[in-house]
Amino acid sequence: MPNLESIACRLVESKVEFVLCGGLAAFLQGSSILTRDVDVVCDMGSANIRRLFEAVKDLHPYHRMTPGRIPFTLEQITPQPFQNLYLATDWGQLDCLGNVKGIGGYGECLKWSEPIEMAGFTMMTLTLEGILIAKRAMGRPRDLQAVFELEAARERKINQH
Amino acid sequence: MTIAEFEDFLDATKHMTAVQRAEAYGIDISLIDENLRLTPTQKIRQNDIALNQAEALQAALNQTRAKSGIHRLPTR
Repeated sequence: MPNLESIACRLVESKVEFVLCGGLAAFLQGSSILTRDVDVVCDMGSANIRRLFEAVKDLHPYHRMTPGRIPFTLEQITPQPFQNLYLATDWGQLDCLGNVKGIGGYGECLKWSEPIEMAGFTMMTLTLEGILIAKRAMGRPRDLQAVFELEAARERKINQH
Repeated sequence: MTIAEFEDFLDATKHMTAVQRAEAYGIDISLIDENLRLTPTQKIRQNDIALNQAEALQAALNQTRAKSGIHRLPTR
């Protein structure tokens, strides 16, 4: 049963260093396109990925891009960092990226992020401008639709103030 | 839309406001206005509700197809 709110909450509670990006960040910043997964860019160092593992370990996480649904286990976390982690869990998909196209890694994304408070927790999320940079760099048709939506949302926000 | 058509669209809409351009692209601005009225908590919960409803519909459709034995429309 999808519960993206709880996945995000778990990451915060487990002190995972991450910035929300992708479709959910775009939705929170004004896009109307619904999303099926939580995309985060995070510090891919082993300490942080261990915290991430702790956050989702009871949700039966597995590598959804690999054949055979290989479970995500603690033993896989070594000093050799993952580039990306594409996980499926009982609560929905969680994609952990080492880089966001057009911006860069976790450190760069932090500079393009802002805290968003929701449901009793605070989460770093790409700013509207940051998402626009990333979506333009991705350049797929659905990204371009998101660009037009977010530019319209930005204009609406400016006109409201 | 091809890349050439997309470039033509950008050229034809370059003097428009962002809202006008989005509308010309076929985006329903009322959905964006509705989204902007919500708090972040309301937004993420609305997304989760919609996902769960979509999954429930998909499950019901699969169940109906399994009962009827129809898995695809006949092709000519």
